[in-house]
Amino acid sequence: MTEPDKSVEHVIEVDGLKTQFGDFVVHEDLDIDVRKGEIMGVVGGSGTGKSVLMRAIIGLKRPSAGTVRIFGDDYYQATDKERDAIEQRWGVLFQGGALFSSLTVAQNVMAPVREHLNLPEDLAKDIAALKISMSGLPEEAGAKYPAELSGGMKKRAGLARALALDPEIVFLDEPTAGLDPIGAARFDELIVNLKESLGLTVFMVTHDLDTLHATCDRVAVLAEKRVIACGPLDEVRRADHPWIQEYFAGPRGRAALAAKAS
Amino acid sequence: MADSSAHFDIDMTQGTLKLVPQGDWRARFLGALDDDLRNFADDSVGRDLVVDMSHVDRLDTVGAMMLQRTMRTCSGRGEGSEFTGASEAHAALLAQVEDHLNPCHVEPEHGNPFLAVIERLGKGVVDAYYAALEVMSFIGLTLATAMRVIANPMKMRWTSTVYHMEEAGMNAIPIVGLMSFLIGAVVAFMGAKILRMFNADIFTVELVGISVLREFGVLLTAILIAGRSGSAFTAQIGSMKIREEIDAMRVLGLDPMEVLVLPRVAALVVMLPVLAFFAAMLGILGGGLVAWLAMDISPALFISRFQETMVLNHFWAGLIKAPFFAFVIAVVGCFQGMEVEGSAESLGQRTTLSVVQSLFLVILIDAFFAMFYLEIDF
Repeated sequence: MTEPDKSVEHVIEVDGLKTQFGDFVVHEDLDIDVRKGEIMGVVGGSGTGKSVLMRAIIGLKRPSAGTVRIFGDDYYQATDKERDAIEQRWGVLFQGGALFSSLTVAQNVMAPVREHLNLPEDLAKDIAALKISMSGLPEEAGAKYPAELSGGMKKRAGLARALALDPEIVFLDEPTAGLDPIGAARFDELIVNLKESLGLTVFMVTHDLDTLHATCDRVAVLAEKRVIACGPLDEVRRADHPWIQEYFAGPRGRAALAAKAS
Repeated sequence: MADSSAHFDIDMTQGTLKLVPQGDWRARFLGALDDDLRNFADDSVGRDLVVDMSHVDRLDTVGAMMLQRTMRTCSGRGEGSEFTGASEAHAALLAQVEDHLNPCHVEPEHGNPFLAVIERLGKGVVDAYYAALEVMSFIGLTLATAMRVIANPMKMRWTSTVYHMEEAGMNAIPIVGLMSFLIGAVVAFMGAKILRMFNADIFTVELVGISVLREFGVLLTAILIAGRSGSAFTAQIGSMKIREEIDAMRVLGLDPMEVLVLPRVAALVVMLPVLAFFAAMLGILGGGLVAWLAMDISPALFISRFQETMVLNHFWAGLIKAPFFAFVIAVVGCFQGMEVEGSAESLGQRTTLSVVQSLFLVILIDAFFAMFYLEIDF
């Protein structure tokens, strides 16, 4: 693991995290820091608690020990008001998009705007149109209901909603899972593009090796209930751990590397 | 900067129209500015516009969008229009939003409201027609499946059937019992008050007996089960439909009619008469108790009067209806479950529809039976 470097600003700091379901311990003594403005990819085998880690950070799964600091504030010790402020500074894209099914895409994007910002209706509509367009959806998508969208469009709509309040951190849970390779590559591009232009910090849980190569500045590997390696992809790939070797040196890992090199 | 709230100045000193946004241009501070900026843009259509960004402290996509929008409305980006003095980050933001300014529709088009009403009416009638046809064909399919399984009883899913008998039948006993006990008591009270005026207290026995045996016991049980189990059937099958479990069954060669529908229908057809019988007994118990406590008709008198005046016809007239009610409730519940499509919203609508339809049909069938009994003098 890389030593904490005081010169870089950490927007997420997780210390000694322990999460469990009943007696089943998912994480024990887990540390992870995310720097401002980077794309952090979290990988790990199925059942190693990647999504649980994300849920612990965004306040949906209370850890049984350890601290989660967002922008320097301990999320689980914060008052309701502080927590509210933190929540307006992040956006979350859930795996299936998690769009509200009774609202159109535009209304989905407008929902957090209406709730948190006291803006005129016309401006809220303009904001929805902007975010929908920035997420790469066509204009007609705004008036559609989630049930009428394909999987890729749902993810883009979910991203548009996650970006609604101009967040500083965006959490992505398996953003490219279930997308075809072309759609997945476009989504990777979109994320890098948005990160650069909006200065986002991205915390991404993924299985997708191509996404790791295409987008991530640093990668954290979850195994044995903790982060066993964290750093730039080239560094992590060389780590001496059987799972890491199998993951990156397996046929898919090599293919993704070759694709990146070409 | 001392003055950090968002505002803008208009500067025309150098001959060109110059917009100078100042302060914190982030979404939360811009609500009050939106109208002013729109008015400014509308007044300046067709003129070259210079936007001096050097006094903007902070900017987000919303601020950038509003400035780009103003720019576009004014000049359509003519030669002399430009952003000046923007920091690198702000210029990047302005460039990012530039291509994304087109408005989009928030809701689907509604069209002419009068036509929409007519259209909905017509669609409703046509839908009702097809829905009726579909229910009929589903009933036919259920009966055909039942015949096939009766011919080959090995195919019956006994475990599932027994499970639903417990779930829809046994587990409903407390609530069904309590309800009919109270109904019996209420009928006795109401009757007693009026019959006493004619000194005909003793007819309370007939009142309770006939109403509970012929109608209330079975009808109220059916209504309760429609709400309790019919909706549950729709929700169970509907959520399986959403998760593609039904499709998985089909491709695995399992017939959903056989696996899902028949056990539920069979379980309800067996259990509803049992529940209705139980309900009738508790209804009479409730009536009897009220007669005893409020009108001094002793249990012995109640029972002997009951035996003298009640013919078995009343009992059968009620009980015969139960399997028909059960069949309708189960079939409608399963049918609506199978009709669920895609979203959770559809599941909710179908569950509601399932209860409404089965209640309607139960009461309709009850009315038919009443007329039928009247004709044959049963």
